[in-house]
Amino acid sequence: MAKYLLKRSAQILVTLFVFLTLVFFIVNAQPGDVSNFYALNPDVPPETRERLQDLFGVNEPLWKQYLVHIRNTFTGNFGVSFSHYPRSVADVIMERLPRTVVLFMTATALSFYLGFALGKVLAWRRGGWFEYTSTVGGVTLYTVFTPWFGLMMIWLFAFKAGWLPIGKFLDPVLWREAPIDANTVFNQMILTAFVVSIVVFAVFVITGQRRMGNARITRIASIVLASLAVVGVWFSSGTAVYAWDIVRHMVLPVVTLTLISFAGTMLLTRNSMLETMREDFVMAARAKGLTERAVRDKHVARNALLPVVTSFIFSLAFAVDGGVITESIFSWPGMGQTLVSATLTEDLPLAVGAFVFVGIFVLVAHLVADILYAYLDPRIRY
Amino acid sequence: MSLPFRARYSVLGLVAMCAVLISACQGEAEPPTPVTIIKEVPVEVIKEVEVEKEIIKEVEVEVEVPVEKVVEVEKIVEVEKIVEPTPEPEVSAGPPIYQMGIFEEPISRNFWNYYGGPAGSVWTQYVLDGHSGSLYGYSDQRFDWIPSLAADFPTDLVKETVGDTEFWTAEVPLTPGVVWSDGHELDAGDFVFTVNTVLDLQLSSNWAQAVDSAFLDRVEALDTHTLKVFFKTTDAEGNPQTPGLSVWQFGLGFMPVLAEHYWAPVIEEVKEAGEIEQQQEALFAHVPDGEPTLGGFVFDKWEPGAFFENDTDPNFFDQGTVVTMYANGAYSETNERTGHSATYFGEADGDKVLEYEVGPHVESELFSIYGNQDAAILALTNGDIDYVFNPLGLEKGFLDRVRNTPDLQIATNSNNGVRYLGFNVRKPPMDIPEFRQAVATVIDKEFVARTVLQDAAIPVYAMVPEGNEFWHNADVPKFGKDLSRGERITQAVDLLKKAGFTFEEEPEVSEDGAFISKQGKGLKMPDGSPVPEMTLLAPSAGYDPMRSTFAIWVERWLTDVGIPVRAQLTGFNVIVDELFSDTVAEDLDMWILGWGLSIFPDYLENFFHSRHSPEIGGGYNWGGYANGQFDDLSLGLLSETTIEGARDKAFQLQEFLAEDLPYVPLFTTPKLDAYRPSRIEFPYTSVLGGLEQQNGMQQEVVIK
Repeated sequence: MAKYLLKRSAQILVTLFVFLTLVFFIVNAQPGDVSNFYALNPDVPPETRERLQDLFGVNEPLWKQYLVHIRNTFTGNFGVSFSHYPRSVADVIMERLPRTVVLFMTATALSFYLGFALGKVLAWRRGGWFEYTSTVGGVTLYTVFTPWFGLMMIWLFAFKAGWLPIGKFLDPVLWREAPIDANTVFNQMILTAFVVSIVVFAVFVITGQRRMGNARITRIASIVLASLAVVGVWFSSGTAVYAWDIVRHMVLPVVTLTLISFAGTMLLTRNSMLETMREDFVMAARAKGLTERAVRDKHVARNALLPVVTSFIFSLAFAVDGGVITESIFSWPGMGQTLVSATLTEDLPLAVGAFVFVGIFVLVAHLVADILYAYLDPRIRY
Repeated sequence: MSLPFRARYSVLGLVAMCAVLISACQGEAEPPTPVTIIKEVPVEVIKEVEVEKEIIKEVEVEVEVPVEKVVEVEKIVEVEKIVEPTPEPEVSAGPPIYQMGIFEEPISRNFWNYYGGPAGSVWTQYVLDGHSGSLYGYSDQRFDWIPSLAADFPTDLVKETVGDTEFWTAEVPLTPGVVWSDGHELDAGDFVFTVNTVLDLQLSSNWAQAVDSAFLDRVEALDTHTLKVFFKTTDAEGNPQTPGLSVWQFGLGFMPVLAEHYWAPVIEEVKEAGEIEQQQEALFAHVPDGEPTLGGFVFDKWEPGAFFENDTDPNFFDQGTVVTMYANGAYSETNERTGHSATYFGEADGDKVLEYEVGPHVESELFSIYGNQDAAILALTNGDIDYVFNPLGLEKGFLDRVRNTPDLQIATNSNNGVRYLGFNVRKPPMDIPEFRQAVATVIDKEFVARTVLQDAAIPVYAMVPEGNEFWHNADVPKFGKDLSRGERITQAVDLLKKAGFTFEEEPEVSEDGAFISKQGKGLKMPDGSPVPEMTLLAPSAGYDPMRSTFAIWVERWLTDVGIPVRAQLTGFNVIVDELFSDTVAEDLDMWILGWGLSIFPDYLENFFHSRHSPEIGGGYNWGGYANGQFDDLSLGLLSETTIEGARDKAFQLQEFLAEDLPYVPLFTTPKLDAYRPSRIEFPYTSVLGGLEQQNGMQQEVVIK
């Protein structure tokens, strides 16, 4: 395993280098530079353009810029953002990342949970109305034109019904007097989710290993207790009202994202389940007299999980990229919107920095998926 | 370690479920946190304030009524205009916060960076508008040059010798009693400090425009409230020069002033940062926490990606000033609180055309940041914001949506900008004036603007748009105006032939003159060589559908005449890159772009003086236009020291350009601003450049 990990790490390094090179040259292939946006005001002397180019180093030869880019990336320094001058690229990314993580991780987990649950049932109840409606409905949503669907969701549930806010991630009138900033709340939300996940995971491990008779009750009680503890902590901190405001703003984009993406997992699970169902061990399980539910959940679904988990891990990794379209439509200033605006304003360091960050995340996710394979399927050995 | 199957996949789902559910549960009970109480308090107070305001207004009406018997009827009408009794309960739709929508993030709140560094975006401008002041400014609507922080107009420029050096000098008295937002009094030292910082740190961009080191030698404080300005009498080559309106009145006079008592220690530190570039970087990087301001607002909070908030400055010197403008051209301002009173440009009597009280009339101003124009307009129609900034204009789809919202109103104004077709006059045949005139003649601006673009564009013929009334010359030559298609073709062919061009086959017009029955072919230049195929660069429809539409029609009409032109619709950056490239002189043929313009038309010199050609000065004269007569006239405009003299020269320049046509002015667009009149009220909505050009009238807006 260690040998395999070393080999994979080396491969990842090479891939990262190629990726860095490609990103740099593709982004730089755009005509013009950031100074274009400051040099078309007749009141501004033309020398200003040259001064800006000097300041940003964009008039240096491309190969020099490339070397600086490679050096900076490997030293963890992505430079200064042109469009947020003089803030560093890392600073901007760290500001935008938590917002994207909270939104897209939630949407990704929800859509996978929904997709997996539905896919399991679909494979088991083939040919019925449930399969047809779920498949047609899911595929329709999966292939719908995302900007249109997002706008329709806003129009219907926010504008017409008035149930939810129109875009943004917070209500400025509420937050203008807030004693904390939004990113602190986002970070606290991430921390909360992380802690609760660890607790729940631990409870499942412990109850699973000890074969406790009342495992189900123990698990539910633990989750309820953990939830209550979290609620208590949030209320005592006095920031619950702000977290709730963010959650309210999250509902519409999360629902939209879940609806347009759950079908992928659903169909993947269904196909994987159908293949597994033909295996001999399924027949053996049935022959043992197990219930259909036990056969489905404990034998078939477990073996069909591998490709789904792989897809899930990659989706989580790409979640840090944010949805360019979703973030723009819902005015959610995360990584996706940052990427778009950086590209449009020719803020090359920020665009490259954001791409590289996502690239590194995805490459690491590949490694994690490989390790997870071995854990989930004992037959796999490296 | 092995886990039961259900546990594994349940964990995955529960991780996310818990995040959502737990967070959602937290707000259910809405506990009475201190923060919630804080939010509720202003709402109640605000309501009370609104009521008080209304009572005061009613009293004013009652007081004025008896005067009706003595004073002219027109005056009473004006008084009623000022009071404007508001409908009762429904008007108070929230706290007195002016809520505006922007759809890009401001870059910085460091004023040095905004005005002279990379943070100079319009979005930064909107949020920092209420942070600064200057010696002079423009009056409302008429754009007269009026004192602001100055107590009066400056003394006339005189030549004065100090030591061995001769200078142009002028003195400026400052308004006494003006204080910064922190209560510190403004004095002449603040101006001297600002000018010296710009010169010492060699700040560029707008700072360099305001403090033109080619002209300005220094500024001195004669006492705490008197400034003396020293301009150089000769340029670097020793030629005599005069600081004209663009350098002095509309240049240095408009320079924003920053607080010496706050910035001096910062600048001291900055100057130790190394070379000039490092010093500039250090200055721009400074986060101006607690910076005192002058413009009526102080920074309060910036939540990146969400909103930017300014609070009202309780010490704002101009608050409560009543501005009155008269039909006879007079301008007056009176402030009972400070005792300030001034009248310019005539006697303050006769019909009033405008009267309002300077604010801020709000508790704070909130700039909500949206991801795009669509989201901002949706928020406006939903009542989340009162006004939305639209520097790119309101697209037709959004316009329809706003028009269909009963609560919203659209203010339509002229735009101070022009979109044009430019020629590279270094290359034949574009170096021949008759060729350019022929091109101008065949372009039917009215047809494209009215018929094709459905009045979304307004045809223009002069480089100063019609909306800039004082400086616009309406009597410039207008090639092709009001001609039929056939007449245009005939006239264009005549112009070409007059210049020596020949055709293998001349274009033919149908009998009714409505269309071309036969396209011209084989156009040859005066030297007999065929006219080469030319490229017309224009932004693609995705960037600007109007300019791309014009480009397509121009290509068609020129092809009809026999002029081989191909419209290349491309990215905005591609065109800009081409214009700034080292090979612009050889590669460029024609292009369509646009300019946002200033009130004072010194840009005519920037665009067309030969010293601004890329090969000479690296400026904006991309077409390489070089005409000695024009050069002299445009330099004359820059050195003109009187408004009337400058206007006369600006008129001559416009005539010259409309005849010689280095640019063919094509069109401008109306400026449309959408706002919510049921919640906010502007003292006026008719103004060049619209409400957006006035930065949303942050000091003047009243929340109902």
